[in-house]
Amino acid sequence: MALNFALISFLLPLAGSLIVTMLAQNSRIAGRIATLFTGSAMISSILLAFQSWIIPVYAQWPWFQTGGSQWSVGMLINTTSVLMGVLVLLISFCVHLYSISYMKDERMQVSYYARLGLFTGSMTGIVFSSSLVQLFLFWELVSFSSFLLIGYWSENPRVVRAATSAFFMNQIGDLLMLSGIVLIGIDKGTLDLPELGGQGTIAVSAGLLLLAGIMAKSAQIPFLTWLTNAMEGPTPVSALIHAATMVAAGIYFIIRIHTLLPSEVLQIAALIGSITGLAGGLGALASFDLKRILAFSTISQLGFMLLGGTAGTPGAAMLHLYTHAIFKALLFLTAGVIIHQTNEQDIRKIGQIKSPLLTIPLLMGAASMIGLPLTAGFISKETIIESLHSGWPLWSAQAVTLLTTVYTTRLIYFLLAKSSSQPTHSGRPDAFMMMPVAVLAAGCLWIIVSWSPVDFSGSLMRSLDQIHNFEPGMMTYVTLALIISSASAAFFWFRRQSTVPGVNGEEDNFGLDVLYRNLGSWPLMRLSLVAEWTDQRLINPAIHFIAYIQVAWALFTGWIDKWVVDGTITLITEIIIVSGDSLRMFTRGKIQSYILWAFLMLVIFIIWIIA
Amino acid sequence: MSPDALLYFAAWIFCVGICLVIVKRNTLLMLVGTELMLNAANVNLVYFNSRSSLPDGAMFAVFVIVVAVCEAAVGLAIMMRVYHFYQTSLPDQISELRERT
Repeated sequence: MALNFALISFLLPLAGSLIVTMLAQNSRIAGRIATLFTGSAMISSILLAFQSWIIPVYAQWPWFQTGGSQWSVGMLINTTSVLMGVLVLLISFCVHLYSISYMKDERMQVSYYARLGLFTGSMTGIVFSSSLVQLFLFWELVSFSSFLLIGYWSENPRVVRAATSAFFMNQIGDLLMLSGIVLIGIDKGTLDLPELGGQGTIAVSAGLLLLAGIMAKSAQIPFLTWLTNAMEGPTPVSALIHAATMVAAGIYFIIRIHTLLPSEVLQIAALIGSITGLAGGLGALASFDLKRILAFSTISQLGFMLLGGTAGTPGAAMLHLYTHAIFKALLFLTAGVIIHQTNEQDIRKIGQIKSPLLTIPLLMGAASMIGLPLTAGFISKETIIESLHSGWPLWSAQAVTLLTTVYTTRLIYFLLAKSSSQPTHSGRPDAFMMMPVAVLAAGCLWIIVSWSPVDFSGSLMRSLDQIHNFEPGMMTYVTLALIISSASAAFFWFRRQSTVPGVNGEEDNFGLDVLYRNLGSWPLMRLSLVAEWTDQRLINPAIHFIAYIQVAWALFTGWIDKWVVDGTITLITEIIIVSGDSLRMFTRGKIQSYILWAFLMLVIFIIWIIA
Repeated sequence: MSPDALLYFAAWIFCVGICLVIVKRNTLLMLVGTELMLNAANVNLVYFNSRSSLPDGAMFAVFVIVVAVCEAAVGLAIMMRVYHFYQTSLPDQISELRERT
């Protein structure tokens, strides 16, 4: 029964994508059909959650055989994957609903919803996959459909470049991850997660390769530039893929294989996570573009999750993934409404936002992101901090928290509180846009994590992690004090500024794009020079030599053909012509020559008779 | 005149006749050539008859002359018809009998 629900919630978005492509010629209907399918998938996943909460379900079917090894596809349904599945489909449903209004003036809506459905189905595939090969398949599909969605406005060359760079970076990671999977397959002889779980940790090299794939997918350092560039895509897509689901797939994957990874890999991952968290926070602090700020904050939060999932406990990271997906999707969708109304993404030019329909969701999302009490973000963030016992992970987590507070305060202050000369906008967003925003805003409250706003081991956390038990401790109060003091300090400091503080250069990610371009082009230039030299000096003479030999040989055979082969035949024909002519001499119709020959014959005959 | 000389004379006339027939481009002269050859035969007939008591050879020669007249008449008639048909009397240009090329 649980399997059926899981299969349905996996297949429905894909089926919706196909049906939209085949049937819906009318773009207005396309969005509604796709939304209907995703909504049904979401309901199915919620039913699945009721069916198999806490109780894991595992099923596998044979897929293909290589040599003596049997590979299988399967479904591994446990609390983590059910939570992730519900999350993916919930956000996807919200985004579908939101897109009906947001994308209503676009031309290629059918293909938009088809891509969205493909993405949702692939993402659900990752969530329920039980085998690494199967997971990799959907992992690639997610990269591909993300490429399609970022490149939706393909008339714009910036968009195309962003989509290509995102795909390229993901491919680098995916290639490394595939090598890691192959290494595991050779080493352990199986790629099924439950079987691998019984065989202890994997090799460090394989773990590092898997980590590379996770880093690329979750936009960790040094792969982080693709995520900010991907903001060229439509805003609902940014909310779905680049805030809530696709980039979270890396974190989800590391949570899922946490027990397989050796401690060295976990430490490296924690280090990368903390560096990424700080870098993302600084990037968010320096940017002016509304969507880029949110993208950098996503990077920072993903780094925080990676840190929490590897240095702390995976359950806490999963909890933060869950709350982060909701509040970040909320912030993105609200930002989408603002962008839709003002046609402006620069926070210096947007002006003050006064409509409570927008300020309340923005404040809710921001509060959850900062981690103020009574929000879901508070519980998940403090759980991660509680799970980091001491040492550098704890301090870098505190630093990330501090940065998060400051950049969120900056964003909110300049959007909501700063009165500016720019005109205020009071257009009314319609119901399709506000419904998902309202749902997600409600999801920012503590109630979705546990009944009690201060109980870290509330219902959800206890289901995710049945071993660890967290309670508000000393670190919680320290962090809370840090958050509140830094938020107020930042608020008063920003109030004294006449313009928005920041650093120029967000378009190329503060020089990282240029650096990567040069890093990529320098070896290529060297390589091309070497290749050119080889071509000119080594390959060309050889080819010329061969060509000369061939031409000489051709001339020789041509001579043979003309004088030996043709000559023989010409000689034969000449002989035949000459002999034919000499034979024809007797029968040329000349009466007198007939008489001559007849007479000669007669003479010969007479001589013969007489002799 | 020795008898051999007569035979040589007959042979010479015959040769002249056949040369006329073979070499001349005109049909009329070819006909003349045939007459010459017939006359060479007549000379032979007359000469060999001189060794016999009976006049058979001379008589045969007379017949040959008669036949030659008839032959000349028929030949001329054929020539007339040929000339009428082909608008020429030159044997080189009359080659209807050979194969088509």
